[in-house]
Amino acid sequence: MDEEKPILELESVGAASGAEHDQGLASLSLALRRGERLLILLDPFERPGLFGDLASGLVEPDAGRVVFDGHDWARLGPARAAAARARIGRVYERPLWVSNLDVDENITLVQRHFTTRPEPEIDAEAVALARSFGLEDLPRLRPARVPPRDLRVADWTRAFLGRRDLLILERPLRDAPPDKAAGLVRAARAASDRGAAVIWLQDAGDRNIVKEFEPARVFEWAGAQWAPVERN
Amino acid sequence: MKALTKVGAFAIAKVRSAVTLSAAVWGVLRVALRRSTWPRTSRNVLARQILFTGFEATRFVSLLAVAVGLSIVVQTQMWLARVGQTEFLGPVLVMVVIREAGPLLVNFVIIGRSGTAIATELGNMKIAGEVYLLDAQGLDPFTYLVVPRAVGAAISIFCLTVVFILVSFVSGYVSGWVLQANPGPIDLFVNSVFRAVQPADAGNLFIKTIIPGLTTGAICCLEGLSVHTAVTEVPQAATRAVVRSTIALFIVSAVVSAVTYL
Repeated sequence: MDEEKPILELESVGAASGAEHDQGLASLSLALRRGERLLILLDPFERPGLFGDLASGLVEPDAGRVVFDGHDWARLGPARAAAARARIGRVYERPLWVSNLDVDENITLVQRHFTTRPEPEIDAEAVALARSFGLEDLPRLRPARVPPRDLRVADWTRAFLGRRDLLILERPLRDAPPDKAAGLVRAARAASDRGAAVIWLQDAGDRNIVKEFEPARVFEWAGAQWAPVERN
Repeated sequence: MKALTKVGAFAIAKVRSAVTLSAAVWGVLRVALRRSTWPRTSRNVLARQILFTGFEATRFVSLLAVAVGLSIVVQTQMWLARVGQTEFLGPVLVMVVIREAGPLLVNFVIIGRSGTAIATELGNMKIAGEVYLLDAQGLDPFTYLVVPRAVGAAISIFCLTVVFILVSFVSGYVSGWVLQANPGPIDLFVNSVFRAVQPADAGNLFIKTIIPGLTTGAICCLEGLSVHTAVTEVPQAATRAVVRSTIALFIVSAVVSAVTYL
């Protein structure tokens, strides 16, 4: 594994707004190395989903190209693209769960699907991770029966479970208990120390909450425009 | 000229729809035969589908089989006995129950019971963003959602049809005995049926359950996944799924019967 090789590259990427995304993106270029931490500060009305969808190859850009671990998403076949997506952990801005699976099954789904690790081992890792975030245990109920605060923390557990190469955290503190934020920052830093690139998208007003995240670079995303932010 | 254009457009749309469906069924078959399609999560979905579509429908299908046993089997026994042609009991029952009524009725039950459930479930999943979530996590919706459901429906329909045939014959014989419809000795009844079964009947039964099962599963999944954003699209998708599955069932049954017996 080449530590210097970017895990994610966006080359002059442009995407128009549409039914799925109410805000487009204009000519963004960005390269993110393994272990790098990036903070993207959002306008409160900005939806971060488009960035995550572009980065994980779910949306094809209208201009430019998106490269994940050396492979252009547009040139990857469905099976390889699916396997590559499994290496990306994502916390979604709005709660997204498969309703006919329990929350613990949702959390371990990717590991059970893509690996041959024994289920008790996956479960034990998920429980340890959930406890590190402040949950007593994995919620073993349908998502509709779990309180939103616990569901948000369970969402973090799902994103961090397994060895991810890229983590995209889209307003991860929304609905989360404030006292649990420090746990998420610690987990994000630990993941980047292990070699995962971490992208944290957060409202500009919440910048202090994630100060301890200590990103290598900070960007501001307003309208369709991106701009690097001088750190002070 | 305008009318002709409309007829042409209608015909093209129908052909396109049939080609899409055939491609989907072929895709299900092709993907289902790959080992990589069946990690433990997909096997779990398959097991749940067989439980819901197959196991949980056993009681209803058995009740239906008792009703068919009472009507068709008893009537056949009685009328053949009256005209002194009891040696035709086996061939007639095989022709009516094994070749046609069994597969057709079980397919109808599954289309009505599980087909609508599949289309509704996937439609609601699509609207709630669950299909997007699976895709975003790297779980291909076709291999994780569609293939196990279609294969599960096919296996369930085959097994339920076997149950249907056995129950209808047993209930037919027992009710014939109770109603004194002259069913004759049990060994003669069983021999008569077994002698009438040809190797082609086994193939016919297999194809008439597996192919429509896959078709029903694929149609219902695709209709469910075809909804976009509105909840009101879901019942429309379920209705379309039932209609298209029924049409496909009749076409497949007719073609298989024609190919097997003509």
